[in-house]
Amino acid sequence: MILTVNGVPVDVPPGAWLLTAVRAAGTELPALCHDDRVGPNGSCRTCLVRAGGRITAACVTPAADGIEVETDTGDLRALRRDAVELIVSALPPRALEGADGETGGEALSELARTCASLGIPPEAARGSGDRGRDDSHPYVHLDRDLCIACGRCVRMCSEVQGAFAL
Amino acid sequence: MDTARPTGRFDALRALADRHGRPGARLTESLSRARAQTPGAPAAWAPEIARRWGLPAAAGLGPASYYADLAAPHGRRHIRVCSAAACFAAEPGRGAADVERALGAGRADREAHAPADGTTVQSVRCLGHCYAAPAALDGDAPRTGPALIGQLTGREPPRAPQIPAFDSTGDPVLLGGVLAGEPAWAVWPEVVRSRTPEEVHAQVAASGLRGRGGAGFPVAAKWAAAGRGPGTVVIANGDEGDPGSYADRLLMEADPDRVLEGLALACFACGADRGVVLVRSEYPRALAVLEEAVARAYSDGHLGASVHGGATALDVEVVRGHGSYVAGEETALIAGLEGGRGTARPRPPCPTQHGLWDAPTVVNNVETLAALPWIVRRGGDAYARRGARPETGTKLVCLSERFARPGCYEVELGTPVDRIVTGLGGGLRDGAELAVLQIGGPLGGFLAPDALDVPLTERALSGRGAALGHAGLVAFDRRPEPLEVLRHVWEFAAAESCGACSPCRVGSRRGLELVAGGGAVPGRAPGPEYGRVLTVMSEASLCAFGKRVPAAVRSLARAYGDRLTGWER
Repeated sequence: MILTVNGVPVDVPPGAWLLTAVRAAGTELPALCHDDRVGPNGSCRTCLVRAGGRITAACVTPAADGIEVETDTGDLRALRRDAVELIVSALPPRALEGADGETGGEALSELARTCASLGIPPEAARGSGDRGRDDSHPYVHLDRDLCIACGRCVRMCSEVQGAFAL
Repeated sequence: MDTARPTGRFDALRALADRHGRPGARLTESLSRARAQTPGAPAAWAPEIARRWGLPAAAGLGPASYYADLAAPHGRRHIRVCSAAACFAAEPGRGAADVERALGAGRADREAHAPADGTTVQSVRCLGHCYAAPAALDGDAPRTGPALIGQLTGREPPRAPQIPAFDSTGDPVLLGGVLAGEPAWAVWPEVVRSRTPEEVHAQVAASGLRGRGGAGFPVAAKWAAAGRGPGTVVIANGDEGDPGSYADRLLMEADPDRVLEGLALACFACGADRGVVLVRSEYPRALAVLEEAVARAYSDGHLGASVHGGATALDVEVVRGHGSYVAGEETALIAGLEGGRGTARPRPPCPTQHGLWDAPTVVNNVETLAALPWIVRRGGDAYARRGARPETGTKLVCLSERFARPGCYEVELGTPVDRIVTGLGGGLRDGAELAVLQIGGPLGGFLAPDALDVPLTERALSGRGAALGHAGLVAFDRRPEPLEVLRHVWEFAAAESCGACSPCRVGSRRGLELVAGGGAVPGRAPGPEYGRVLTVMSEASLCAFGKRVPAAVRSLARAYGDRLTGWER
């Protein structure tokens, strides 16, 4: 199946999602709810592209032969940035800090690195952070204040672990 | 898993339930029974219910913490108080909190524990008594009108008038049974004996009938998409969540046989031997009436293993919803019938390909189905001559309590809105002045009093930034401040967003904060963040709910003009 991403032809197997095609073309998109090990969820809505003239989340849109995908227009860049910033706006400031309170480097979470790459300042995180924690399990800890409801942990627990605990 | 298989979808918990006898709605019903009279949070009882079905705790906690009816603590006496559009317009600024104070009750949607006297009050959005607002359900007993609190405290006699119903067409498609006693099940015996599914499908295709639930999708095209595949299911969507609409409640309560005959015809045309009627829990009377009507239909031979002694088999069951607005969206409704959380999911796959337990599934609104007996009896061409091509046929419109003559009216599509408002509704009661008119519920829009010279069609209304939706008409007089109405719309969005996608989950709350916060001043434009929130919601949301809320709030600001300057951005 051949489609174009920003004018570049890409060959993907039948049944692939647009996100696969975009990445195959060497273009990175924020995709906060995506993980290659589990099925797509389409919940964070940050991997926004224009396909066949319509804005859509690439991770849950099937690739189609001959379709033209755009990722690099001004409106799409702004929309992806604003979509991530909206998610971050509900989180407390510590969501964008590293484990040791640093604001740079490898200590940062994937979310913080994504924000940095999109030019979203740490001040964007200004939620009240009063939703509490669940530390009842010895090695799985739930900090509700940092949750972006991406569903990765739920899918990992059910689809990969088969534990269905979440 | 096979990630290169986008046409199917994999939900591991659903697959597990599939292997454990598909408890589906039976699981949700047992959660509902456990919830009755239980003040405790779902964590205290939902895992055990799931275990009884051989499922992990998450299978119980998921739906129990999602559905409004299951999440809210229930005391011995449980009162649902409506806080939706028509009730807000009737008594701006009043609601569940006043009932709670008058009864000394605990507010079920806010507190984790019921008070000692065992009365809980739950704020819900639309009970379908918009013509007699404000409204509440005391257990399953409706109470309506200005003396609502007196009725609930026992100082006033209970009051819950029937839905006023009128025909303005002279030849009603939908209300012939309700108004003139035209019996239902008139065409079904003949159809199963002597017609083919293709013939019924062709009549409906010729009629031009579109889905009346709000999306307006051509019915025949949806049926064709299901392709008469094996195991096809047709679902009658009686989850009439749009505040301001009570047309489906009228049909289900006053003419359930016509709804069931429509469902039978749809099943026949789609090659389905199974139909499901999903009735929202806010309509307890409709639920009881439909269950009786289904039992009657079986004993009269309209349903069963051999319908009227022929080769057609058709089983129909009635299933109760459990609250929450988005649960009426097709994919959410199906997730709910499978026993899961009633949240929307991305398409593809469409329900017509992979619906209820992956069977081809057609979801049609109750009003849509109720038009089918007329179309099959009189012919698709006769229906296509009604209304305003290409939007053919008639529509039930529901007028709210603020009108001089509130009620449910059958009108031809294309009828000018000002004729509905003034000619049928008689304008506003007590000589009040119309400030804005909401059409089509929270995903519809608002019109200014000088913008009512528009035909009642989807095309014309969308040209004015509104939408036909399910055609509830809620009038707002000049009492509520424009910013208060705007806040009300955002409160609905924030409370009813299903949480499945971030733009709507976060955006609806952020929108409400920006409107309700101290910085919100009428006549002063909101900051740029407000516009960005609206753009992300409308462009990136998963389903029509998040996509449409921005259009609705923008149209409200336009309808108020100078009184909400800047909020239309």
